[in-house]
Amino acid sequence: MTEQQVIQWTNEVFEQAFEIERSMLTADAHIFEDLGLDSLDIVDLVVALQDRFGIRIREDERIRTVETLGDLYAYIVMVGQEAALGGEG
Amino acid sequence: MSGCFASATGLELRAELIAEAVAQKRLLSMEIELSRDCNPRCALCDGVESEGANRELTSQESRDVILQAKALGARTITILGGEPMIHRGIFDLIEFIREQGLGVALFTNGANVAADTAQRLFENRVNLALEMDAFTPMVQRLRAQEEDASLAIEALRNLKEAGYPSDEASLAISTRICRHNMSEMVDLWQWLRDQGLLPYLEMMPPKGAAPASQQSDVEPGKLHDLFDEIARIDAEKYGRIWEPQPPLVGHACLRHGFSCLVGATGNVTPCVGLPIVLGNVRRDSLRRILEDSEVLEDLRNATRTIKGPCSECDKAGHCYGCRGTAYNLTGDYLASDPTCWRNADRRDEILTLPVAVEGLIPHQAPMCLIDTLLSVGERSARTSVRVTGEMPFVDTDGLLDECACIEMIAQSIAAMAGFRRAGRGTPQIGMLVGAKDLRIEGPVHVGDLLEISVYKTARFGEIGVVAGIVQRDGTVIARGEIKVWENAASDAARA
Repeated sequence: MTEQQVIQWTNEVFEQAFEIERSMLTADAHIFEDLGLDSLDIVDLVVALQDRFGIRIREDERIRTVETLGDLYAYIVMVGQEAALGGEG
Repeated sequence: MSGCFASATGLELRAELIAEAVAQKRLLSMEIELSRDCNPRCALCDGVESEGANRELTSQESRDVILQAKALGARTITILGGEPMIHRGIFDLIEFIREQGLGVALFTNGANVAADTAQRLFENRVNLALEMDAFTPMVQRLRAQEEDASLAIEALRNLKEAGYPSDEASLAISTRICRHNMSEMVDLWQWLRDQGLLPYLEMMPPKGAAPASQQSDVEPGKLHDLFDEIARIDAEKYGRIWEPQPPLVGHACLRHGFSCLVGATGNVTPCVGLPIVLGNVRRDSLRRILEDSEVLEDLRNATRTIKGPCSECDKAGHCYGCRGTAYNLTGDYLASDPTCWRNADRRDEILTLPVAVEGLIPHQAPMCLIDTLLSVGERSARTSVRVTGEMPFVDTDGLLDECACIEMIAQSIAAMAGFRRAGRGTPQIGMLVGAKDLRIEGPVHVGDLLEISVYKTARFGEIGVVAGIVQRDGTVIARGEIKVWENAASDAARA
């Protein structure tokens, strides 16, 4: 999966699950402060990303270090690469 | 058919190996139902009718799940049915499994085990369990149509001529104890030992046709006597020392720590006797199903999670009875085994579903909006309530406010968590922290009997996501999703 595809699919999740306008979805946008998600929304975000990308996130402590959309793109790319090497995300 | 077979056929199951498998949520063995098609219709069958070849796993799907099991650590695959030997692709599958470096075990009633097939089974080093419930033709007829009763005997002859049993390929005789064959079991055991055959005797699990026929009921005291007698003979005559414990004669069944069953349509269950569907390999990977399963998590830790008299038994460290029997008789896969002779005087301590929710959840009248816990399954449960005029959220016209449905869903998941942890100390307190996508599709009136179904769909950290449906007489009244918070050590947030 290319980085561009990760960005596209991630943005689609934010648009569809949280009705956030695409113009707000920039790499430096802070997920909580700029995009307005709260701790309960993060649960839905994790579930939606797991379903969209077919990866397992919920038990990965690294997800908790994600602050911006750019951090999230990079994280998903990394997890996807690990899954490809290990056989499953 | 039974699945506690791996250890009986030589799969070395050292305690530390099992402990490692449990800790890592890995497998040491896996059972797979090739198909539900079967030649006879046995009165003692614990199976269900075939759903047809178009719903059953394809050859490729079966191979894929075997590879998944291998990746999870499985060392042997046990092939079940229906009757696997009538399946056209049986040898293709056996040879595929062997090519993966895995052992193969197979249960058969002897169908199609002619001289050439017996030879081919032996060449592939298939460890066999031949189903034969007694010597006498009468009991064999209970097992099968009369004309098929000779299958096992003919198959046994062919297998012996092919080289069974040997160090490379074992041959067991699989027998389910019922009141019609009880009197033969001691003789059967000794005959099998003298023939070099593995006895695989098990207590009849109460499901499928067996309860309706009532042909399987054996009083626990008599089972105890039988187990003790066989243990004595095995020790004195054959030098094999073991302690009697249900449900297997001469073996301990702790299979849920290291195995699972993949059914013919892809449903994964803990074993043949415990029909709780954990997931389906057509929707999720086997790894994910096993990792996410709360039922398996509980079973792997049964010495800590089991309820009632079994939890106090001095054998609790290495015995948990038959979980399938417990589930089929009580609705609770963690209940004490009601058929164990050690529990004969303590049956009244074994909780059986349905059960009142009082004590399972912290809510009390008038805020307790559910009455009864009906059933529990894999991250799911059903409850019910009869709506009364005394309930809050009921207006002067006897209509229940829509918001009550959300609370009913929340209390239902709480009841499930409370039941799962019953007897394990102070119940964890959870909180309803969110709701979304609530759709109300009909009014609820005083007098209505509602059924609430809940399913834990996901979790992240201490937040669990629960889908709920409220129905009246099978008609959906409301559906929605809630989020529940509990601390990290509790159950409701653990999906």
